[in-house]
Amino acid sequence: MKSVMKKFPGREQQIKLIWKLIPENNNERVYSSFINLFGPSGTGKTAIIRHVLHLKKKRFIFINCYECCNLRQLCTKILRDLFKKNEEYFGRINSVLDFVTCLRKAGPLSLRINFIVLKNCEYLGTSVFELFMYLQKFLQCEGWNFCIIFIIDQFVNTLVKGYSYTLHFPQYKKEQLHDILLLKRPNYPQELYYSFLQAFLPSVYHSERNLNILIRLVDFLFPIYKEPVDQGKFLMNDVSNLFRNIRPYLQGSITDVFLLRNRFISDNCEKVTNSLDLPYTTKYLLLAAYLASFIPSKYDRKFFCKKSFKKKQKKFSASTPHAEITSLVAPKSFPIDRLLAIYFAIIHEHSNVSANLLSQLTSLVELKLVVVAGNTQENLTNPKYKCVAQTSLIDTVAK
Amino acid sequence: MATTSKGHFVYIPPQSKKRNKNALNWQNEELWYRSYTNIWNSFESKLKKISEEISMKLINDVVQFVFDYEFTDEFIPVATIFTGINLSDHDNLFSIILTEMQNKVNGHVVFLQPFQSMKLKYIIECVVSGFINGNNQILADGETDLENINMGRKVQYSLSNLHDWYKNSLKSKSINSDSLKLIIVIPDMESFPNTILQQFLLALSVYKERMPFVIILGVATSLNILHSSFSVDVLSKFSLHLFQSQSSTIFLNTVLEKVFLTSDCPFQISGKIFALLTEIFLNYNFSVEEFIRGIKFCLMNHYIISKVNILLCSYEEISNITKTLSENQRTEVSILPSIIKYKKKEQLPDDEILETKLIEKLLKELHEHLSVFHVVVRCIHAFTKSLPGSPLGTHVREIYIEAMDSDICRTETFKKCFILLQHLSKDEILEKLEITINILKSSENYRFYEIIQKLSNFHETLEKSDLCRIVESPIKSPRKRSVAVSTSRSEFKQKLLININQEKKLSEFEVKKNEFFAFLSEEFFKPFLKSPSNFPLNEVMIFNRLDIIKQNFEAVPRASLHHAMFNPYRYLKCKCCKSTKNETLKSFPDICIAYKLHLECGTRINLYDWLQSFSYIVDEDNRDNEEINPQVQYPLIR
Repeated sequence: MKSVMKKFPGREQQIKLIWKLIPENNNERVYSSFINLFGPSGTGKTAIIRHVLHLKKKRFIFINCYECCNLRQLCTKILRDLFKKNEEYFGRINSVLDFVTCLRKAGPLSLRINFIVLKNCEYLGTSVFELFMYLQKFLQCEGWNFCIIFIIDQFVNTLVKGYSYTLHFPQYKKEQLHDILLLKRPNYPQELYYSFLQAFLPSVYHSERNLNILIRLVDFLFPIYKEPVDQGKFLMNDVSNLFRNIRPYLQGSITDVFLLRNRFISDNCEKVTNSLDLPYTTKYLLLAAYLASFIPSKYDRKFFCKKSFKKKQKKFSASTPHAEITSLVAPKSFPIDRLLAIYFAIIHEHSNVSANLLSQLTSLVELKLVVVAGNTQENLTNPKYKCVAQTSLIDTVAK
Repeated sequence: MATTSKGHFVYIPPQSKKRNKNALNWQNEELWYRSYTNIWNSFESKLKKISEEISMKLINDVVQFVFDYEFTDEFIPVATIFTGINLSDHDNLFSIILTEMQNKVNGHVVFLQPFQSMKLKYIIECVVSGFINGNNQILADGETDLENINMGRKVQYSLSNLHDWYKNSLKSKSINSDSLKLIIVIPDMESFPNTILQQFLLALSVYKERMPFVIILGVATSLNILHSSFSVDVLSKFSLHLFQSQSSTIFLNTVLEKVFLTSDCPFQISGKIFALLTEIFLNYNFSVEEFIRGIKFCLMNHYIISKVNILLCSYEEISNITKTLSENQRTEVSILPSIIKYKKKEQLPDDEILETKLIEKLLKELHEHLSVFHVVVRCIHAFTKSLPGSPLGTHVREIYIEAMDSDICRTETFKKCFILLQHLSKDEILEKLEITINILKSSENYRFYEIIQKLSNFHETLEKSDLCRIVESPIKSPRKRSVAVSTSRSEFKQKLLININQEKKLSEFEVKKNEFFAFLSEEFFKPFLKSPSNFPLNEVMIFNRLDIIKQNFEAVPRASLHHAMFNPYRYLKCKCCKSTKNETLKSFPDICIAYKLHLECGTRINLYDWLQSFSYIVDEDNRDNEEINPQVQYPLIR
């Protein structure tokens, strides 16, 4: 147990409990047939439980619920992994009863403890949780020695109640993270790494606490941090200068954590994120859609009427602060007629409504910049739309 | 009783196929069809080559990335390709990627295309069965795949099946098994429902330690969409790599310059149609494929509208084809507007039918002119593209549009260009001249030999000429410049003005430069840039029916609705509705009559009056009757 604790600093209490919950002897009955491990992702739930089960040499299967979203898939997966046999051996499983008969058919289970670890249980549907309700009864009747461990990131209402035991994994504290990160990368130069973490953690701690992502960031940033030291530009303890060196990368990586794996990409990243190549009219159509969904229709006459060009000029200056206020509100839906009216008001030239133009509207819908609002079947004659493009995107398009 | 309802099958008579075949045979024999296929095939082969060349860099990058990627347990590599929004062109790009992958990377590729109302289960089943059964075009067409899925229902593929299969195939292959990769291509991310794609990727991530997945994701818009559609949870499991594809405007330009705007292809499109097609491209869809389809449409129409157009063929075939011309066709040729013009010029009688020899000669002349024309258009492009304000545009196509329909040398913009050219520095002029000479040389046309000689002479003299040494200008100013001696302010001012207007003394270089530009505009551009549409027989080679193209490519729903209502004959083509004047006939469909009557009134219409006039037209027998027949009333109420 001590070794486990050393490996996972900051989790001593949880490890102690888990250690107690899992019996030493294989023939012993489990204390609770359901254990919930609950806490945000990146707090060591999976790693600890796997490690402990491994150390205690228990027979266990590990299933990630991402891949099985319904009852049948989950059951077949459990049976498959438990008995190492093909699906055809068990046939189709449509209900809990099928599952139990299959378990019976497969042979005696009561002799040894079987652990089933289910990860990401929040992806399971409510119907699947019923399975466990029934299973609980069956386990009692048949005397099977089962222990199902749920690992849950988010709180789910349908968690198995009753005989389950819930263990909470809280977020790591700053010092704990520091210790863990030191532990995780033992081959980095100790002193430099230590000073790096000293500077790095406070700056990201507010935005990111997920351990996996932090490790990733460290892997990305530390080589850059180290580089000037290797080249001899700065001294090892010149933290402020060294940190200034990685600041641009750090800032970028807080917003786009997952893109900055490659350093070369980060340079032209800005260009790629904001460029959107749209045909000429589509650009205007998108702008019109944006204006239509964020400016209330009562201002239409004021902004878009063709009385004078001066007013039109005014519109552009007036709409920007206005949009800032309204962008806090969700976009409103607008009928297609209004969209076209605004479109012709901003494009300054008169042309007919052609099929090409209308097809561009559908392509915008396809690109998920504009969405159809309301029931599509009801509104064949006068469909309504909403513009869901981001303001930053609109800004670049408008330029 | 129950049995009677069962016997409904669609029976397709077997003869229909034969008839089709006959029709095809008949088409093959037609001369025009043969030359049409010839031309189009040559287009297509070139296009294919070019599209491969253009996307080669991107594809190589992607393939190299997949090839090089070394798998770690932590992440699934995702190659994100920003493809731009020209959706119809994507298929082409991804099919090339697919073939390249299969050739170069040791692995299995699965193509995942959007499918309506799909569920996670189906996607997984499709992908797994695609890997196991080895058919990589999953979901390409709905029906066959549904069958596949139904067949596979018994086995029920899941990712764990895939894992088993993967382990087995590793065992059996033993050699090179380290680099075996499972590649999933998702060409169009936007058309997938977010949640499902997310779940699918999460499901894949479960196996990331055990199977080497590579995902190639086509994104049409921008990076933002990745952030907005995937949660942190999902994104943290991938390592994204970005690839940017060529923008489609560049693609279009190269396609145009290499395929359509060359002298190799006999078929030419008039400037206006060309302008319309490029406008549609730039303003609306950004789709090169659509553009090419437009040109194909032009080519087809060109052969259809007139029988004379079989004369459109490559240079070598001209003599063969002109020999086959029948008497009828020759008369048709002789009444072409350009030929009539030609006859007037040559003072031939109006009703004379042209000899085959003459037709051949004229056609060859036109061919030769076009081959020169295209080269010179490129030369002028080389000269003018970098001018400030770019009066003639920055692309070859813009100059082509200008030059095709009218003589470009007479336009204002052309003259403006030459004024701007005069202000260029020596180095710039020399550089441009060199480019031009190179273009001319590479064209290998015998008609340029002389020009090249002259241009290289100019190049030499310009290079040698001194910028500072002043040569006496040919026109000497009679008055001496005496600004210093002036009595009053106004006199001084006047003298200054005179001085400005006086001809400055030119340096040697400037003199030579003026000579050079005079040569350029008078002897080089003017004769060679004559608009081909002024030549006799241009109708044969240049497609210029703007009306047809407009009708087909600029669909205007409201206007066409109006036309249909106003004049049903336009679409129905039935005898009963044919009316020459603007009258309303009884035989019109009811809705058309109602619409026309409604047009006659102003903004508002009295329902009773409307009904009355409606019945006046429809119910001719009962005109005097005050009461309206309910049978007549019904369609209007409806």
